[in-house]
Amino acid sequence: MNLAIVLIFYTFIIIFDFIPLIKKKLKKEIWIYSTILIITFIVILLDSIGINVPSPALLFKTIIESFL
Amino acid sequence: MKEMISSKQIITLILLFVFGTSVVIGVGFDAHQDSWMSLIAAIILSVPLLLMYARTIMLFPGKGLFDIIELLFSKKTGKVLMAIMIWYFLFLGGLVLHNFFEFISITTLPKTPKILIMIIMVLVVVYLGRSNISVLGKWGIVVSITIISVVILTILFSIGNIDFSNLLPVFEHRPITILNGAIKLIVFPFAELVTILPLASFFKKGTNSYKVFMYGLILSGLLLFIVQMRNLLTIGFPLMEYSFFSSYTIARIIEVGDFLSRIEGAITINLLFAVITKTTICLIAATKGTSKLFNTNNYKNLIMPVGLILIMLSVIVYQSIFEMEEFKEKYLVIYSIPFQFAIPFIIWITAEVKKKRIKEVN
Repeated sequence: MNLAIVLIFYTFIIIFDFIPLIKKKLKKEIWIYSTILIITFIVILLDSIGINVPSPALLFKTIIESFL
Repeated sequence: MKEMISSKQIITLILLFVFGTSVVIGVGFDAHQDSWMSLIAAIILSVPLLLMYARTIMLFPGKGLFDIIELLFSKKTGKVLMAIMIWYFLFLGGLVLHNFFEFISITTLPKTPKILIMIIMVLVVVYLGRSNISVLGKWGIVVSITIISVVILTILFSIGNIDFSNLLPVFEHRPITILNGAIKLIVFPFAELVTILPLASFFKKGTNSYKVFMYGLILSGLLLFIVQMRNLLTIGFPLMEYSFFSSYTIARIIEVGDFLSRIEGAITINLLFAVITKTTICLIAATKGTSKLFNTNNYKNLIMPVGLILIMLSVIVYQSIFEMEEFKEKYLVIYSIPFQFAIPFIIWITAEVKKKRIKEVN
């Protein structure tokens, strides 16, 4: 279920948002967009199939605790 | 046409931003029945901080936080500062979305997948962020009227449940405990107003930032105070501390005669509106920063990808509401200090020094 939602969502994003941007030929934006698209897709996909991705809050907890 | 928002609209946005998640999640209950004193102390202590924020943007009219950073610092330092502030706005947006998800999944939609709620919320937020900024301003005015009327209505309806003995004994706690609660309240929600600073480039010409910030603080502080008093007087502190969402709990016990009850949906709507506003402001702030960081022309092209980062962060940030409470109670204050106090302070001091030098040269 989760997986299907993520896949459908990303398909829609690519068709209705990413491809129009490519047509505008804004090179820098396309690079930033595609990098973010890939990273977020991987993380959200992992989460949706039940693999826990470590939270950034955890990182801050460890940093703060090492100071205290 | 250049995008602009008026002073009134900014004040309502500040009101909604502060009201955002804090009113439903509830913070700063360290002093139990004395927590209203914490709130008053927090409002007073926030004044110098907000004046500092206002001063920073008043020094460079028509410029947002990221434009100011670009002007003041060397290229490398500027980019590092920008990246740090972008992280703060992104993480804040993720936290707000996650808070909302916890609320909605516990109270109304327990079986709906997390990712679906986040996607729908972010789509709304991205739509609002991509529209002209005046749309956000108008949205602020309409929504704040709705929110204030819901607050007033719930107060009127809960008059029957009010018990003033819930406030007793007054001053049972030591001042240090009250101050502790106040510090938590400054960090979340008042000092989070640093997120408004990147939007300063949208302020109408001649906007008095001091006035805007002070009015915003007073109005939102008053509203928070009213809400907190309502909750304290109706359910008292033990229940208030143990229920994750106290405003929701008080709305559940409202019963007027035999015909009006179960109005907690109104509280959900309040939170929904406020969360949409708060996340939109975070999103626009983060996107403006990203656009400046990579030197792109139009920040609106990047709103959707930054929205995707928001979804990602809100999904992975906590695994349960207990983690959320732990982070909020134990780590949030220390985590927020660099973003809310240290970096804005450095920017402000640098701005003062450079501005003086420019004047002397002239």
